[in-house]
Order: sequence, then structure tokens, then C-alpha cells
Amino acid sequence: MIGIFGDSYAYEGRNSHIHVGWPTYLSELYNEENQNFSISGSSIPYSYQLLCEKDLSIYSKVIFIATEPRRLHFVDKQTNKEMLWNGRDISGSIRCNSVDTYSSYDTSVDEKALRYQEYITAMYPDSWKWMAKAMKNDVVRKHENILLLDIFQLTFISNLGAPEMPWHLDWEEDNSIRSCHMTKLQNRELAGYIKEYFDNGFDIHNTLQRNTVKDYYTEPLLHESGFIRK
Amino acid sequence: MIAIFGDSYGEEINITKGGYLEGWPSILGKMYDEEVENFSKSSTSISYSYQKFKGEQNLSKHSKVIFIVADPTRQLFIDDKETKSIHFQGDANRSVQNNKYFNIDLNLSDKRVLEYQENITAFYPDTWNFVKRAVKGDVLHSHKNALVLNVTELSHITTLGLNTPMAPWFTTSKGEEWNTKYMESGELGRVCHFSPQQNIELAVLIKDYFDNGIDIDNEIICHTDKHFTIPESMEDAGLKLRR
Repeated sequence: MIGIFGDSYAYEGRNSHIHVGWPTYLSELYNEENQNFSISGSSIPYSYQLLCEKDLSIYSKVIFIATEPRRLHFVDKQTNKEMLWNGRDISGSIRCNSVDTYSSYDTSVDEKALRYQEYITAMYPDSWKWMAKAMKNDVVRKHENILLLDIFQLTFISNLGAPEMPWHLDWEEDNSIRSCHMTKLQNRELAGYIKEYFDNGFDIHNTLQRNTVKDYYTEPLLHESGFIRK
Repeated sequence: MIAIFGDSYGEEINITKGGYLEGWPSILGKMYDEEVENFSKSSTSISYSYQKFKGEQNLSKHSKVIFIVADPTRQLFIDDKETKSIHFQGDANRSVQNNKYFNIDLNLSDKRVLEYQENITAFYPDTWNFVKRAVKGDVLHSHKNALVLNVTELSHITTLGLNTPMAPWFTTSKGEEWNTKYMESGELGRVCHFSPQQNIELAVLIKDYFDNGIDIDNEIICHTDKHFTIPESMEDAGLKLRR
């Protein structure tokens, strides 16, 4: 069994809205099932807490996708309430909280807290990098066969063949072509390199740099890349 | 050399006395006949201490590392672009005072940040609990001879005897915090939130951890009265009544 923790870069949808991506391709390559705990818009704390709660010994391999440090996971145990902050804006955070029923907590949106957090993030955007660093450092020691990928690395794949930045203002991703923010082919390529990493110690991090990414991942033409105008 | 990271539970500067007071860090240094490099600062957060810890270029020069994990709701707000950071201590008013102590000028926007954070902490107080676990895990793996202590467990020593027949001088009303009634006095030798005797006892216990591998968390939490002395009087504890 392969364990996967992360945000939209590993999220393949749920129920009738499955968009097959690298997690499924990796499972196929190994002929092993995966348990994918990823949720779009979630935070490092969210994934880290889940990782700490799980019995990791059941997994042959674990992949942890570290998202933006600014994203947070608000928790109040007394009222059994939690909420995601997407690190950017209120409307996006509201959408994140409605993506899925991801826990036993009440996830109703608390707009006031989001508004406050939006202000704090704008004023002091680098406040959470040390906490993120602590979690990432701890994550890599949690399992003997673990791979930590940063979304800042994965965006180099996503941006191959993408419209000019900031593309999200005018374009959106077509889920029939793209999954985990990559084309189907890029997802297959990433799954292959992850397997190479686990099997042969391949330096996957070297494939995920601005100046090397084109050597390892296919750059589609714009009309093939799965972006559609809003 | 022994390195110590943390908040007021590790700082040996007492504000009321206005200078250095010998607490458990210095006592521990004397026990080992080693120098102590103490990075602790009162009212700081886990992020502050962790930043200092990761910024320490040559951790291997330290024979031992002690890391005090502060209350996780405390924050260090950082803006790299403006090279500015402010401290949040748990509530906005105290944080304003606290930033003055750090010589940090707060503008209106900063004060609003502190107020907003106070609200968020009130709505979602358990948001930061995971940080304790992550930092503890990383610190223990980063140095072969490390000890991580939590302020929650250290507060067991601070409040030893409170509302018990053993310390009739040390009482609070229902729901009252001990430090709203009592004030810590540097003149009476109180430092790191402990009496002078308790500072010695904590240093002894920490030495026992490093030398013999005792389960210090369990000893502090479950056997506080076995290892630590209940002060006989307010003066003995280094406390005064607030007026």
C-alpha cells in the first residue's frame, strides 16, 4: 500500500469526479493500492497531522506533498470545528472548505476568521515558513521509504505549456485533460520518476528545477495543455 | 558548551531586578563545568526559538542542547521584504507591551494584526498544537544530545503547592490565575518562573537526564513533589502579592 498526503497536486477527486493522475499511475506501476489523503486547498499542518495520526507501517512507500507555508488549518477541539485557509483569499478559502467532507469536524465557513487571516497574511506573509520547515524536517524521518516533494518544485511542471502568468485570472484547468495541475502525460512522467526514486535512488529533485524541468517532462502546446478560457 | 533555546523559562534576565539572575541554565553549566550559550528570550514563541536553533551554524560545538517549547499560540509575524517581525504573546494588549520591550515600534496596522490574531486564537485555539510535535521531532534528530522541555510541564514546578495544605500561603480563587494575584520578584531571587531552590533541583534533574537517560517528562509531570521543593513562604518562593 502506498500512502499519499498533500494538496491539489496529489488530489484526484472523489466519487463520480475522479481525475486520474500520478497517484493512480504510480499504483499501476507498482501494482499496489494507494491511500490518498490529499485534499485541494489543504495545508502542510493538515497533511502533517494526518501523517502523524496514521499507522505508517502499513505503507511500503509514503509521498508527502508540501504545499505553501501560508496555508493554515484552523482547529477548535472544544466545538469540534475546523477550517482551511488557502493562504491567499477568502473566496478561494470558502471554495476549499466545500471541496470535500474531509474530517469528522464541522467545516462550516467562518468568514470573520478568514478575513482576519487574510489581513495578517498580507501584512506578514512569511510568518509560517519556520513552522513549515519544522514539519518538513520531521516528515522525512517518519518513514524509511518517504519522498517529500514541494509544490514549488511541481509548479515547474504545471507551468510547462501554460498560458502566461498569472494565468488563473483568465484561464481554468480542464479536468478531462489535466489532473493534479498537470497533463495526463506529465502525470505519467512524474509517476515514472517517483518509481525510479524509490527503486534506484534516482535524483527526482533534479528533474524539478526551473532549468532542468523541460529535459524530463513534456511541454505541451497551449491548445493541448488543458487550459480553457473562463 | 551547552546551548539553551526558549522563552522566559530559560531566560536568566529578570525584569524586576533589571539584570542577570542565576537560574537553572547557569547552575547546569557549573555542574558540568561548561559554558552556557543561552538564546532564550522572555515572551517569545516556538518560531522564534526554532529560528535561532536552525540559525545556529555550528550545532556540533555544543555538547548538549536544551530546547524549551513555548505556548504554541504565541506567534512571530515575519515580513522578509520589509525585514520586519513582531511578536504575538497570546493577547493583543500584552503583545503591544511586549514588542516595546523588544524595541519594536508598532504602527496601527501592526496593532490590528495583533488584535486579529487574538480573535483567531480565541476562535481556533488548537490550531498550533502540531508545531510542538514537529519542532520536538526535528530538534531531537538534529543533535545527538538534545532535550526538549515543554512549558506546560515546567508550569507543574511553577505552581507546585498551589491550593494545597502544603503551601497555605499560595492560594487562588476559583478560576483565578496564580499570576494575577502574585508577582514574581527578582529581588527575592525568583528566575525562570522558579524559586532559587527549584532552579537547582531542575538543573539536577536535567543532568540526570543527560547522564542517565531518565524519563524527565514523566518525572516532572507525575513526580513533581518528589524532585521539587514546595516553598515554605511567599518570600521563599520569590513571590510578592500584587497590589
